[in-house]
Amino acid sequence: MSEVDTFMFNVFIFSMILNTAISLYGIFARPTLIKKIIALTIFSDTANVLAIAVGYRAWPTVERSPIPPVLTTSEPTASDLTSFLQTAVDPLPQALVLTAIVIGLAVTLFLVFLTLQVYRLYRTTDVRKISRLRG
Amino acid sequence: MNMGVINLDPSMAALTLSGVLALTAALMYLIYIALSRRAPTSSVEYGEAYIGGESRTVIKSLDISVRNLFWGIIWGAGRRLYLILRDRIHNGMMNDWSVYMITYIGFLSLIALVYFLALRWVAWT
Amino acid sequence: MVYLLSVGLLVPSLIGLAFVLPLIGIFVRNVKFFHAYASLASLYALATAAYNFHIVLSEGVKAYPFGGWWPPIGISYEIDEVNALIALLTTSVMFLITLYSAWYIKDLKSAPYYYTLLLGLEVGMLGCIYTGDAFNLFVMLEVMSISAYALVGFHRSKPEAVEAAIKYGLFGAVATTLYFIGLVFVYGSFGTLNMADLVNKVTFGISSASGTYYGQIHAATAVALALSLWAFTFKSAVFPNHFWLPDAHPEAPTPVSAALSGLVVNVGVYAIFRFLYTIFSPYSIVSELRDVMLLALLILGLASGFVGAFMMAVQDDIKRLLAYSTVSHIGLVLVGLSIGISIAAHPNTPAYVNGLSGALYHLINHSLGKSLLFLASGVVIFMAGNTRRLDEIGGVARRNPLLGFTIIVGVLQLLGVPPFGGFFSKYLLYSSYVEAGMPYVSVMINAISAISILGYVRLLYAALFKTPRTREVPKVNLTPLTVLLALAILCIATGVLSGSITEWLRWIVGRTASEQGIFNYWFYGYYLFWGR
Repeated sequence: MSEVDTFMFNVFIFSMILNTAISLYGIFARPTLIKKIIALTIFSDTANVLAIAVGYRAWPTVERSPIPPVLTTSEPTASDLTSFLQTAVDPLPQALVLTAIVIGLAVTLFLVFLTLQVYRLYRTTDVRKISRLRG
Repeated sequence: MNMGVINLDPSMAALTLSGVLALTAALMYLIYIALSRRAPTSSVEYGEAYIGGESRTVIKSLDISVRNLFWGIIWGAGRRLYLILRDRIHNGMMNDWSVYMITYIGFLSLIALVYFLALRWVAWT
Repeated sequence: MVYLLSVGLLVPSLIGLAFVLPLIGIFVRNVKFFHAYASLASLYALATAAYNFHIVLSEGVKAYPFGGWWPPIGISYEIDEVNALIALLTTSVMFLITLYSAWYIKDLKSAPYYYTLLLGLEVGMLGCIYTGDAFNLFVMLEVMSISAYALVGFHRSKPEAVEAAIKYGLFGAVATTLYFIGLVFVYGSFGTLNMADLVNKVTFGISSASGTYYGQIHAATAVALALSLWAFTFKSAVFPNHFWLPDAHPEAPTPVSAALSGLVVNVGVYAIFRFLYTIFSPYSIVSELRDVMLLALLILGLASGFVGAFMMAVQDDIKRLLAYSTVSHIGLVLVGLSIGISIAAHPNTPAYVNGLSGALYHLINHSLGKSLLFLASGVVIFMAGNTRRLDEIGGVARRNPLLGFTIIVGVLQLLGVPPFGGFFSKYLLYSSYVEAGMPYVSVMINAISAISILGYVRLLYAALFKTPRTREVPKVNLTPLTVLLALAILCIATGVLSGSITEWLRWIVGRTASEQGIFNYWFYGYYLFWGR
């Protein structure tokens, strides 16, 4: 990797950690349910980007970019397979992230509707006032 | 072999002992029933406990309320504990709980960090 | 036969049976149909789980690769003895809970959705238990959790229920996402998410069909274990993460409270077992890290035992009291699970086997006793005129001797009184820590039991020994009472047969949490497919 690549990679890692910290702060410390849910989406997106980054593959050479993990010939020769292995991106993190996104969507929707119901019943979304259950 | 001692493993001993206890309890209950049959159970004259001229709603129930059960023990022995445990920790507020949860995950992450540093130390020395 | 079809069949077919229900609800307008449908579906689950259990006991570990993709590539389900046992426990208690639901859910409007969620909960639990893939565990945890959140908030016009659901749901989403991040670290360093393949790399240290290691595996494992343990202890409600439980479990409909308190918390415990005894086992390259994590779990388990026991003594709400008792008991189970610390006991020593089999035994006893008490409390609440306050219940169980009998059985089971299973499992935990040379832990187990007496006596006194306020109580029909009686008989059976059950659990632990067990898990889950 060149210096620029290393620098960009470090910036990326740093921003992911920062994002996680900020979103966890939002979930755990902000008083409003809506803001908590927004922070939760930021948090799960951070996790997803992190997962995508695990499948990162540096460019094999300066001219050739990594390719999607699809074999384009129906009867590959040995050299086809070799170049495929050298340039194809790991598909599994993307599959994981797709699944996680769908699940995250369902959970977020559910939480949003629940928040609406909380607002109807309590007339507030401030968690400091939603504390009828205690002890 | 010591023939005078009954060799029982603890779980069998517990089973036997509780069986004997249950049998004894059943026996005592039977004796109680047999004895209480002879005595007159109730008579018409003593239908209601009626003390003085008060109305019958003064004593609502002969039992103590569940809330007051063991209140002496709890409040006498563990007042400070319960003030912390019930009123400060379990106060029903999400944001106050999250302090404890964050502390816990911070603790686990600390373990991970210390482990990592220790490995580095071992590799370095 | 390399793989077993019924292992893979159960979860997908049950998902189909569950999520077709709202569609059926459009056409069928008879509430009896839904009761029968759900009962049959969970009976099917019970039968399949029992068959799997039988096969595993007689033939050994079984795996099923989905879609014909062999283990490290595709998702595979893998069951060993512990898996199969917990799945059998889950499905059998779930079956009784579904039967009980026929009495509890009366109106047509909510029946299809209720049963969809209940079966979804069962599917999620079974998926978590059967799965041999760490990412599929995440997916199934989410299936289970979403069903659980929705079931907690099922009475959606009750402010308390909605509040409990949002508290549970928000933090639950954080927990599962943290587990996902942990999986990212695992995948990044080991290049696989299949559990048998992870065993391959972590324990045997050989590269496999999915390649070899990448980067700092020790550091990545440490982060991954920290994050996933946080998520699992959230799901099983261990001390600092238990806050949602006393809110969520009481506010759910009563059968759901029984399922949540008796079964859902087991999933977290099972996941901890799978992670710390199979994947990152004592033989693995991270055994020192595992020791520290287990020590943390031991301390937290004791703490949650004490917190649950202390909080039980001041509750005014019958279901909330039972919920705190769950916190206490899961703490005890975790204490048993933590016996694998190397300062306490090495694998295959009597202390090790006793501790793990005690934890399993206590898990079973707690599931049976707690679901029995929750279901009985539902009947008590109904008879007392829909009140949960202990003061207002006023001894209604006296009006129904069978109900009173089952409550006594449940309380004695959880309290750990000799003829019942709770005593023998606590005794196993106690003796294992004495043998391991940590008698102060044993003393603390006793202290937790002693403190929790205060809470249980409160429950018994309120439900049984107070003079009833009214003579007329509503009549309860036979369905719930039959379910209660069945659970009570199971509770008594766990106690009376304790000798053989203990032997049998020791055998199971010897086959799963030992070197041979880890080898078997790897052999049947990975090697049989790729090794040849």
